[in-house]
This record gives sequence, C-alpha cells and structure tokens, in this order.
Amino acid sequence: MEEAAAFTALPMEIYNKQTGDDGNPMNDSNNGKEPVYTMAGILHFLQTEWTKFEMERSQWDVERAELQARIAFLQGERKGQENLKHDLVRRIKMLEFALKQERAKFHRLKFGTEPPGFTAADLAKPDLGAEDEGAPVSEPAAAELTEALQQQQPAKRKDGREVIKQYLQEMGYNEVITDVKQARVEQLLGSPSAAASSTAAYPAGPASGDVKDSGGGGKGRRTIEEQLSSMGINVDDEGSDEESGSSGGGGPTVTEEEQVIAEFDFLVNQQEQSEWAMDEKTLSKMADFRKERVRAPKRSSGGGGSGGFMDEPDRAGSPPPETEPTGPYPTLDDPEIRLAVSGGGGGAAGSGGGSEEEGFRSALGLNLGDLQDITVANESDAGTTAECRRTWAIKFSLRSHFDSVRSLFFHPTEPALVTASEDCTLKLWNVSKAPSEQPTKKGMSVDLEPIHTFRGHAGPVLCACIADQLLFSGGLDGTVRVWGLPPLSMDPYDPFDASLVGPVLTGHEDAVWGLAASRPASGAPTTLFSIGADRTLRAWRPSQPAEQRLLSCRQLPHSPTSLGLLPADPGKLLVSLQSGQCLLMDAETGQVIARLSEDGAGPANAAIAHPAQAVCIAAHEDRRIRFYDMNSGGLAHSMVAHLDSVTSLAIDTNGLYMLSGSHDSSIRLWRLDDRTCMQEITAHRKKFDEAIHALALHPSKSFMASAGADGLAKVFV
Amino acid sequence: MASAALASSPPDGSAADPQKIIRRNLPGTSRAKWSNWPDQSFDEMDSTLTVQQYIQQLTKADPSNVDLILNPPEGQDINVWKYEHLRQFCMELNGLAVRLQAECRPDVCSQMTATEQWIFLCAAHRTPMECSAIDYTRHTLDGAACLLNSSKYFPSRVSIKEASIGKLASICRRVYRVFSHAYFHHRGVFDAFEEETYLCRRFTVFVMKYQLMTKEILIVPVLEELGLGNESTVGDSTVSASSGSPASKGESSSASETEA
Repeated sequence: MEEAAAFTALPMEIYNKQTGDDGNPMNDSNNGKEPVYTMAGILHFLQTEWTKFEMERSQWDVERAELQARIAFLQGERKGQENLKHDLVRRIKMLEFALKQERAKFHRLKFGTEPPGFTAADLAKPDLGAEDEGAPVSEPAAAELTEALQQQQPAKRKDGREVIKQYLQEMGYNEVITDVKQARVEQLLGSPSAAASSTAAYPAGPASGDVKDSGGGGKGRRTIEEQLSSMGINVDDEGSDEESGSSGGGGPTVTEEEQVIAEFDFLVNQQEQSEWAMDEKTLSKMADFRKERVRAPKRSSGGGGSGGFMDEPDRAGSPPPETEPTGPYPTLDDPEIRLAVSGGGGGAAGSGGGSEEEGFRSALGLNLGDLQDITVANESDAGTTAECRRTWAIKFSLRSHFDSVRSLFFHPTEPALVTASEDCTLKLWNVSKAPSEQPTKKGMSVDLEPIHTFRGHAGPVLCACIADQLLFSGGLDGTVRVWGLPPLSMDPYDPFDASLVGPVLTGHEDAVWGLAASRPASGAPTTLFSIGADRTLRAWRPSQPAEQRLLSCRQLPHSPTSLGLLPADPGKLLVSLQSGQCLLMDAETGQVIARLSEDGAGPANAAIAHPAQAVCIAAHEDRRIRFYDMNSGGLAHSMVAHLDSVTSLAIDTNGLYMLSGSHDSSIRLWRLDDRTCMQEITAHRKKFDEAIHALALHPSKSFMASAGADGLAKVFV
Repeated sequence: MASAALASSPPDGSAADPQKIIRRNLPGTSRAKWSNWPDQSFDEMDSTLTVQQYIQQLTKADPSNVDLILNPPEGQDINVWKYEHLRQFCMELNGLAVRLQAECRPDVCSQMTATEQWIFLCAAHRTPMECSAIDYTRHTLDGAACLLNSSKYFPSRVSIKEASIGKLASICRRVYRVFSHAYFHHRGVFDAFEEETYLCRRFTVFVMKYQLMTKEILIVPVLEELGLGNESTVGDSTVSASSGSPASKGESSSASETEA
C-alpha cells in the first residue's frame, strides 16, 4: 500500500512542477538552463520514472518472498528441533524406565521380594489422581527402604548399566559413534552458543565436531547432563542419592551417554538430510518410524504395548503443540514432561523411590514391551528382516514332477529342498542356485532342475523329512526309506551312487503319512517316528541293524494325518487325526498327554505347534483353522480361513507368522498376534479336487515353498 | 465305491452342494481307498489338468484296456493328448527303473545294451557317453522329466507349441530303450512289471498309433503277443541292419542319439 501511495503522489509532483513552470515563463528564460518542456519530454520522463518504480517494486516483492521463505525455513527448523528434542527426552525416559525395571527384576531375583519401589499399585499402572492422594508406602517405611536401597545401590547400578549396555548393543549401536554426531546432538539439545550458530553453520558442523577433542565435547556432554538433571530426569534416576554421579559427570555416566546419543543417530541423520522441507520430512519419517514400530511384531509373549504405546504414533505424527520455545528446556506445556518433572521433584524431596517410580510410569505410559518393540524396529533397520517379513514373492517354479507333489521339506541349514511326489520319486533341489542363463524377468518364475532324483518307492511318496544328513521318505507302499543326501554341488547326470540308498524300514501295513525325526541327545542316533494309515505310530532307530530298527509301535484311535515334534519340547509329539482330534503324546512312552478337539470339527489335515507358546494350530477339512491351548486342552480360537479345506500349515521359527495352504489353490499369510491375513497367493492349479498339498518354511533362511497337485513346487522368497 | 468317496468328503460338505463328490485323497487315506472315487466323464472334469485326470482314471480302472486308454475323447487336441500320455509313460517308467535298480548293477550291465547288437550312448551329457545301463535309465528319465516340464518347450499343458512336437518322438525313442534293455537283460523284472502295468504294450501301441517311432526300432516283441505283430522278423531285420563291427555299432547308435 505504501508503495502505491508513493507512486500516485509522484505524478502530482511532476504536474505541480509543470504548472509552476508554466506560471513563470520569465524565470525560465532567465535561467537559460531551464529545460524546455515538451509534451514528448514529459511523457518520456513519466515513463522512465514509472519503469524505475516498477522495477523497485518487483525488487521489493522478491525480497519479501525471500524473507518469507527464510521465515518458513526457520520455523520449519524450529519445529524439527522441537520434535527431535521431544523424542530424545522421551527416549531418555524410556531407557531410564528400562533401567528401573531391570533393577527391580534384579532385586526380585536376588532377594526374592518385590523391591520397595515396586508395589502392586505400581504394576497396576495407577492413574494420576491415585498417585496424588498419597504414596502406597507410608513415609517412614519408605525412608527405611530407601536406605536399604542405597546400601545396595553400587552393585545394582552396575548391573543396570550392563543391562542397558546390552540393550543398546543389541540394537546395533556399539562403539561406532563419531564425534560429529555427538556434537550435532549437543547443538540440538541446545547449549546456547551452539544453538545460535547451528542454523547458520550447518555445513561447518563436522569441522567444529572434529575439534571436539580439545575439550568442547566434554563440556557439551556436561551441558547435556546439567540440562537433564535440571529437567528432573537425570540419568541416574535417584535424584538425591545420586548427586555425586550426576554432578561429577563421572566416567561410567559418560560412556552411557555416548551410547544413548549413538542411539539417536538416525534422528541426527534426518536433520542432516532435510534442509528446506525438514519439517515435513522429519515428521513423515518419524511417523513412518512409529508406524513401523507399531507394525513390528512383538517379541515378548507378554502384555505388549498398552494404551500409552498406542498414543505414540499420533503424537509423533502430528506437529508438537505450538508453544514458544523458552530455551533448551522442554516446554512445560507438554503434559508428559511436566509430569516427569514433578515426579523427579518428589524423588529429590526424599519421599522415597516409590513415588518417583510411579511418576515415571504414569508420565511415560510405557512398559517393557515398548522397549522390546524399539529393539525390533531397529533391527529391521539394520537389515535382519527375517522375522519382520511382510510378504512373499515367487522365485522358482520347480517343474520336474509328473504328478502331484505331496510333501516338501527344507534342509535344516542348507538352501536345499526335497519334494515328494505321487510320481513315485523324490527330488532334491538346490534353491540357492541362480540360473544364469535365464535372467529373471519381472513377475516370471524361473525354472530350476533338480540335482538328484530318489527312486525307490513303488507308489506315490507321501511324506519326507530330513535330519542328520539323512533323508527319510514314506509312501503309499507302506515303506519308510532312508537316503543319504548327496552334496549340493552334485550333477544330476553323475553316475549312480549306491551309497545314497539306505535301509528300508518295513512294518507299516498301510500308507505312511507322516514322518518326524528327533535327536534325543547330542551324539545319540536319530530316532524316526512315522504314522500310517494302519493307525499306528512307530518309532525307528534307522542306524540299527534290520531286526532292531523298530523301537515301538503304538495304536492310534483313528487314522493319523500328520506328525510333528514340538519345537519347544522335542520329547513330545503332535499327531492330527482324521477324526478331527489332535493328540499331544509323549515321544518316549507313547502316552497321550492331551487331546485337543472341538465337537463337530472336520478331519484335521495338519497340526503344528507354536515354537514358543503352548499353542497347537490345526488345519481342518471344514475350511477352518483351530487354535488349541495345549496346557488346558481347550479351544482358544477357531476361524474359517479358506474357501476350501485347509491342508497345510507352516509357522516361522519366531512364531510371529503362519502360512496356510488350501485346496482352494491359495496360500495365505497370517499374522499370529491378531490372526489377520496379510497376504494371499494363488499358487497352484487343481487336479481333481486337490490343489495345495504342503507348505514349508526354511528354518534359518528366507525361503518358503509350496507343493501342488499340478505337479509343481514353488519356492518363494 | 460311492460310500468310500463320500467318506473322504468333509462332513459339512461343500457349502454350495452337499451332494457333490469330493475327489480327494485326504491325508491318512489307506491304500484301499486311494483315488477310490467314482469315475467322472471327461466332459464333467473342469480343472486345467483334465487330460491327465482322464488318462489316470482310465489307467487305474484297467491298465490292460490299451485301446480305450489311448482313444482320445472327442474334440481333444491331439498334441496335448500325446504329450500327456508321454508324461504318464515316463512317470510309470519310474516304477520299472525302481525294479531295475535292484537288479541292474553298473558292474554287470556296464553298457546300455539291448540284444547283442545295440549299444546306446547316453545323450544327457554334453558329449554322448557310454553310461552303465542303470545310469542310462536314470539319466534318460531325468532328462525326459526336465524336457517334458521345460517351460521353454512345453510352457502349457493346454496347448503344445508346434515347434516342440518333434521333441515327443525323440523322448519316445530314448525311453523305449529302457524297455528293450529290461526285456533282453532282465526278463524277469520286465515280465513282472508288464504283468502289472501293461506299460510296454501301451507304449508300443501308442508310438505306432501316432507314428512316433518306426517299426524297425521297436525291438521288444510285445506286438506279437497282442496279435498285431505281422512279421516275427522285426528284431532280426534290425539286427542285420545294424550288425557290423563294434565301432560301427557305437557310431550308428550315437548318431541316432545325437540327432535329437
């Protein structure tokens, strides 16, 4: 507006001047120098003036835009730093909390009692009101306990530190901390001088970091510590009795600090990468990180994340509350931090560890599950994604069988797979081989040739199992055959090696439908279990001479369909029956420990046991998957899982994911904690009314395989 | 028969049609009930593997009814029909190979021979090799399995590439040598196997019917037993044709091998 006013005023001035001149023609002639005003001259003058002002105006516009951009940049930066600080503070608190948990655990283990700070009320996660009304432990008692605690302090603290160190190392952050990063964090945490220079001197950051050894770093560290302690959340949480530790800035604290800071690396990196759009980027990244954390499966079978945990993604995803940053300290508008401060104050006032603990607990809304989740998320960042796998994609089509593939089994350690087919053969495949002559096209699976074909059964081969460098197979002909495993480098057209054909275990009077091998103890020979349509469960010792091979033969109430050893307890067998029941049996005595069944359940086609929990999962002909509690024998859950009968199940070694195959031609991937389907793969064609017979997961490598009635086996990665 | 099939269906049946027969070998099925379901006419089969299903159904019902088994249903693509039959033959030949494995030792049958006149070289290798009989059998069956399942030559089981039809004849010629070796050197094994499966008879009629092999090289005289062998001198004539020095024998057979 100002510019416009100035602009309009100008022509008036000229006009006045002009009229003035017109009014005194005599003066003009006196001067002699006085220009002669012509219409053209005036217009020219007006035009030049006009363009000059226009140009100036556009310059101002540009300047204004620049300044606005600058403001936006600075605001964005501020927000990013607020977020970062927010996160750092929370992480420190979480670590502290973990430390406390560990101390409490240690105390429990050592003295067999609940530590004084940990009461039932504490574990029940009291709300804020209850806490304010009074500590659950009376004052004198609390003081006494605090004293006792203080005496145990040194040892406890050391242990706690060790535990935290281990945690951090597990997260993949050990000694690879660079000074640069540390200096960055110091800047971010806001030692005033650094903060002032940080915005201007971003590129100069590393350089200043390099000189850190000359004392700046140490000072910086101390600054952080001071700030932390002033926030009431100093690293050694017992405010009063830890005075020496925190104020001195002693050795052990510093090393911990390093590690803690190292953990924040990724945040610092974000800071580096994002210059202009930092605000958005940081936010979205943080949001992603949170999401991943939420998605990341829980290691612990325990309670897992509760309310507080669920709140986190929201908080991270949305911008922090719009408050004026008053300095390096966290804003008191943030409820979390305010609570933390008050809790810390209580601790300092000497009212005992209890209230402080509670303060933290309620302030953080965290529990141990969170920390473990963080660990998992960090590991997935580091690249060990085996248990964090989301979906599978086909890699190979194993086309060499002439008829339905009935069973498959992965080598326990090698990337090898054996398939058993109704065409009377078993084939061994090396699934690590990259067929170089056939480049993998997108969406196309690659053919692979088997490295060996095992011929021996006089009828369809129904089951296979590898243990101890031996391959076992059972067929419709009622025999169990033992084979040696050739080296994976073998050429399929090498001369016949008779040593690969092992003994034949005869005894079953009907088709053999399931095999499982166990090694009772180190060095002891393998025991093989087999089930047959003659309703028997037999145990074999294949290494013995012919007449001593059969160890035992036990009758089963119905025709068995599948057999497995409990991964958690190899002394127990899980047998599924055509009657729909599953039996948990003692491998040694053959005693039935538990009968798992539901009235009206269709034939059970397969049953597997959870690797960590006492849960049995059974695939039924009536399209359902049933979950049984093996301790109580009760049905835990039952769900319709496919459009047709469920034939096979496979569970990953961590017990997080499960795969199911069905005669509806599809494979489904399930997340076990909430039993949701995460992926469906249509894999095989139908022959008669059969489609998928078996699934297998490699125990240590990232392979999945499916066996189809169409004579194909497919390998997924 | 029907009750057996119904027993193998789920108790609640298929949601759409409780009367539907489920043709399925459930885990735990006994030998007696294996594939023991009512026959289905070719038109009723609706899967993509109908030809294989149909052939297996006929074969299981009566392996000796050669003409019925080899008679294609109306409107069937003849190349797919040949291809699926050859798959079935190779699959069943695994049974003969298993029996040979027990008797045909590499030290005894160090060469793939049939009668005294024929030595076959194994074409599974880069340069044809004189593999022992059992290795020849294994390699030939493995090679046939790979070729018949190759996604390059036989990407589909519903239609066969025109260019790949020639492969069928060469596979036939090679796998036939397993029969001939068994017949001339392990007659007991051959007879017992033939008694059960009629495989050689089926195969011989098959290759004759579709002209995949010439009469001259069909040296196992099963045709005579069927009453089709009009000349009893088939074997003799081939012998005389290929008789000569051992070197020339090798050459002639290797030539026949490598042409594939």
